[in-house]
Amino acid sequence: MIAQLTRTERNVAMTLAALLALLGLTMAAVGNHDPMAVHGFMALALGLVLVFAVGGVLEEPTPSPARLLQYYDDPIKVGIVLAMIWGVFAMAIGLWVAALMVWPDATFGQAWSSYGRLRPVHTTGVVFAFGGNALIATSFHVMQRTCRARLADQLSPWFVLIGYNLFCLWAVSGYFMGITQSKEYAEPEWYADIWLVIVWVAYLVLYLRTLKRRAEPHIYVANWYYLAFIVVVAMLHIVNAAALPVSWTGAKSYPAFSGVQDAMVQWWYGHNAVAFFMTSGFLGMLYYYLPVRAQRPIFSYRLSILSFWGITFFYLWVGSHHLHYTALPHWVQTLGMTFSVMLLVPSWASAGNALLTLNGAWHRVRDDATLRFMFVAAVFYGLSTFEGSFLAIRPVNALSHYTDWTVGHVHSGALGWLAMVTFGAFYSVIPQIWGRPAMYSPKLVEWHFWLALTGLLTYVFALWNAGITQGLMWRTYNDAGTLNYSFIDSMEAMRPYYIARVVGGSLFLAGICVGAVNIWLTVRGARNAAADRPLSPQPAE
Amino acid sequence: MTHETYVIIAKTFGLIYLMVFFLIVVFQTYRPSRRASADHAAQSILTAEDRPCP
Repeated sequence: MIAQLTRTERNVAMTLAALLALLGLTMAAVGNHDPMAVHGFMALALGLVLVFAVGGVLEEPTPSPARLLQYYDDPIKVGIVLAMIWGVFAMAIGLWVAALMVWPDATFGQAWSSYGRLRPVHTTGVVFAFGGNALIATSFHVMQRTCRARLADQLSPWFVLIGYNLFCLWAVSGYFMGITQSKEYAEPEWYADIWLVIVWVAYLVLYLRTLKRRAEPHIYVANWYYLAFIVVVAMLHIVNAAALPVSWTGAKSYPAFSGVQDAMVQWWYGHNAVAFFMTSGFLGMLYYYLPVRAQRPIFSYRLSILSFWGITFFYLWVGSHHLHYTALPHWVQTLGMTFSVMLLVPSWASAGNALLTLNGAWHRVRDDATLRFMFVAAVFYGLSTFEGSFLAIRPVNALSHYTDWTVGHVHSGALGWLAMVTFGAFYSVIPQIWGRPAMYSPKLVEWHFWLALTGLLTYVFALWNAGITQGLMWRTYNDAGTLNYSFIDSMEAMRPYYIARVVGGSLFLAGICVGAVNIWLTVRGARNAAADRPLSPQPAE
Repeated sequence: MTHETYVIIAKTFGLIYLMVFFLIVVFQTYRPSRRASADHAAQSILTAEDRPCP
């Protein structure tokens, strides 16, 4: 795999790996007893592994020019495998967090396993590590296929992929050690944030260079969504992560903003992370893999462009709906609420466009679990965007805020939309890039689908009930005009729902484990079987 | 700049540029002459060939 790099690329890779090791050594040295030193050692270890891996093939012959007649799929393969590993890990942690709600003693008295540390491990692990790797891997696939051009070079995809996973590793391991910036979905500290900016700029440059090489006159709409994901996430991350480190030798920093401004910046970031990380990029996936799998062009290409501009413009304004009834000026809350409601139009345009594309191919949806994953994803995209607009309305939010309804909403989006469309995309792309006629076992894909769907429905129905019950209990007054229920009463009422949530989560986790096994068997099988793509002579790896 | 100035800008220019942008997007996308290129784009991903253009 590494011998596929040209001589120049290997030399640059060697230099970059050495620089990473040096950076790690410096952080470890200056960090002294600070947790940052541990992150330094991790970077040092990764840098050294890469130095040896590249150094071992440095003098191998140059790869054949025939490689330029094929797409460059190696980083996609690694990205998919990493996404699946992260997915299983982060969903298992999620199950643990859910179990803590029922059995609070399940932390076993350790600091690292407390709820406050495990919860960001779960959220970062699922959204950024699983989702992010899935987005990066599929974007490399979609950009090459839609442009009908090979990736602009062979080194920068690796830089992006490895660099991004180092960020995820720093983030997740940091939470266990207690490193956090205390900003939801933006917990990593300043050095990890700076590192992410470097990786992200390399990602954008790679994307633009590949687009420039395209053989298609028109840039297919999936690329627009992926590009919005890259550009806007960069913008959000840079503004929200603005912070002043206490010293260069420690992890601790303080945000550049304070008070209500900080809250507004945080939720401008937070909701647009939902919009551009968890929606825009995955819509890119949907607009490519769904038509390809259904073998039908998108119902209305022009509608997809209209909803693209609707989503990019409306989403940027809605963050303040997270701050209803706070010190934030009333008009800013109203602004966020209004845009949230308007957002339903482009969101449903996308969901409807996807479903109408399937109209006429329902027999495929019935027979093909891969396509069914994407069908359920489109349905849940429609459902959770409707729910989101509804919850953003101030009086509704008065009932739902701080309750498990919010958590249910997030999971109907994350499990029902993100994870489902990702699995659909993975099952479409894996046989193609590993040169297999189909997945190892279509039966296991079916099992994964039904486990995931049952788990998803159990989970969201439990939390919808839980949230509305909580909200109503918190606002019930008795004849004396005081609250009828104490907070602990509402906690006790939650127990059956929390148990149901654990069951739902277990089913979903079982589903992704089945998927991981099936993917592993498909990949392993490729070693013995002949690849069915036009093979040109290649030097042995 | 005072709060009042911001409010005036938001309520005049802010409103106008969003609406104008929206109308431009609708016009550009739905012009009849764009139909062919949109159809071509929609079909472009449904090719069986899995190799880059040389």
